[in-house]
Amino acid sequence: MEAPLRRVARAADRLMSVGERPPTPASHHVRRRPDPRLPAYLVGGFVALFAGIATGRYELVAVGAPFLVLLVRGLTARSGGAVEGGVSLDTERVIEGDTVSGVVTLNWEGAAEVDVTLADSRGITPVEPSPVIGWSLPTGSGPVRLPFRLEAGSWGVHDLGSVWVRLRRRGSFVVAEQRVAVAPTLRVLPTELRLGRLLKPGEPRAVAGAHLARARGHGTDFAELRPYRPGDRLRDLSWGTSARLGAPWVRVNHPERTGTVLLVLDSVFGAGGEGTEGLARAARAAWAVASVHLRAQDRVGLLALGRTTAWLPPRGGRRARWMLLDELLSVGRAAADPSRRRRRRGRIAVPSDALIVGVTNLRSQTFAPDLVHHRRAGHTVVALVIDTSDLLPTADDRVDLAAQRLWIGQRDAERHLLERAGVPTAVVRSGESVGGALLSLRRRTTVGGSRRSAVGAAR
Amino acid sequence: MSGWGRGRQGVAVGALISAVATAGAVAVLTSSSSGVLGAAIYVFVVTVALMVPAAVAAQVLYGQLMIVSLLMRAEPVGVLLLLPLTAGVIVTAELLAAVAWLDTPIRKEAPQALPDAALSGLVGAGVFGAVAVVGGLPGPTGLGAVALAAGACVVLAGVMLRDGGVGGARRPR
Repeated sequence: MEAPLRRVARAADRLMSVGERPPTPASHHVRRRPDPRLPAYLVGGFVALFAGIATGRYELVAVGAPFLVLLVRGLTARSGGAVEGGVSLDTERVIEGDTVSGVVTLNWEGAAEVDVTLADSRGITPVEPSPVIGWSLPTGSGPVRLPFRLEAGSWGVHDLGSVWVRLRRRGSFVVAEQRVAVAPTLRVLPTELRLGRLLKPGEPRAVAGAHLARARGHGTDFAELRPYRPGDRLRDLSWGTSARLGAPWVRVNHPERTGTVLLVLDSVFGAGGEGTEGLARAARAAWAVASVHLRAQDRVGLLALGRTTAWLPPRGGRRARWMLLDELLSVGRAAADPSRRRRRRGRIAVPSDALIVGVTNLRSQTFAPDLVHHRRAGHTVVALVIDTSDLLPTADDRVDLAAQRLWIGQRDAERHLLERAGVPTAVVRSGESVGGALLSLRRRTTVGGSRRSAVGAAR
Repeated sequence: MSGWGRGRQGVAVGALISAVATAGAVAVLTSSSSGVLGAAIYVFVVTVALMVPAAVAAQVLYGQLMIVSLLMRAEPVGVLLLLPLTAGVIVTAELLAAVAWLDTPIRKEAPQALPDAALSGLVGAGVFGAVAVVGGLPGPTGLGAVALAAGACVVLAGVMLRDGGVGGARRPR
């Protein structure tokens, strides 16, 4: 299923020569931390030595001397220079659930015990080594190559953190800590869900495409029969009807045109893993809708609302596909890393002919009113409600259970609000295809934007 | 200690055994209730140092205090009898430092911890014995002991610098 997208990801990698990009170096600032023995031997040794000198008791000097000798030994053990190294991945673009391989390379002089860890990674799950990407190397010297494997858990642009090294020479009282390299950024593309259905844009454009227009013209879908008029094409003559009625009649069809789809993504999906997974489901649904409409030559845009905002005016073609994916990944990155959240400024102009597809779990209190606002402004609006109730923590007591029921009740109330305002909704449940929800919306959205609103009729 | 790896637990048990042995020797040599109490406090301090690495300094100072208290008694213990106590305090401190070094989710074992601690204990006992024996010779005792200790430090530092530091064998790749 993901094969085409995977091919595109590999092609992008080749274009950008990601595999040949040198590892990002980090600052070689070495932080030296004393071993717990250093202050202990220092204080113990000198206190006993001075006490011995002060009292003239050689026994006290004898008590302090061993610690001073060991202190000198620990401090003279060579601390060595900085550790050098880097980290590289075999690819920097993967699909959700893919495994990524990489290598950490390190080099240092002299024998030392070295601990290596890839810290501050986001959006990935260590596969090998596990549960932490880290290695504890026995006493030895560099260079070393440390292969690792990660699983790209959730979509988005993820920083893989930095390679940190902790080094101690045998017998030394000083531990050196250093950030050796900054890992590359991993772009995790959402799983592509193939859909067989298109939603119906409110007002198809003049360009030939896949949507039926209200206008009569040259197309394939039957509209009506009418008497022949001068100028009609002979190929449009309906020979059977003309023979029955004794006069020339022509067949008139609806032309197929392209449409404009604007995906409005609600980025308020809660906090922590629940929020990330919920947003990932929404992104998959949005990407599925965008993909199927882009394949049908429609123009697709993206508007993200909530904790982070993004705006991509509707466009068509391959470039639009990449730009849309990039904006989606930015939203995913902001969801995984709060420091990356951004607020887009500037005017957002929604095309009047656009079909607005809201993708939300209705957690945000402002998203549903926003959709209603677009509906009242004359747009055709539908909403895909992403069900995240399975991500809620297990109810331990009656209070938790009541809170969950309240939450689900509030979500249903928001759906009723949308339906009453003329915005058809369909629920995308966990493990179910988006295709069913789209079919439900398609049935309730007719050409020209008129809708049948029926609360509860949606799946 | 439930979240500790097996290697760290092993080193911690070694530190506790060393501390208990040292404290037991002190209790036997003092043969008094205050000595037993002091020994029990030493074991407590070591237990605290297992959790808080900064408490290693307290362990060393308290260990020295125990040894000095044996020397300063009305009937002082023979200096050479204190060799194992000095070695015990040093071995315990070395093992406590190894426990602190293993305080990371990725480092599970410290195979060199016990040999290194034993070596440090031997070095410490040797220096203690040498200073005690030389200090006991006729002459200006305090000056002689200090001169010996300083000389030992200089000689040892010179040896270490000449060898390029303390290091293990190169690891095969």
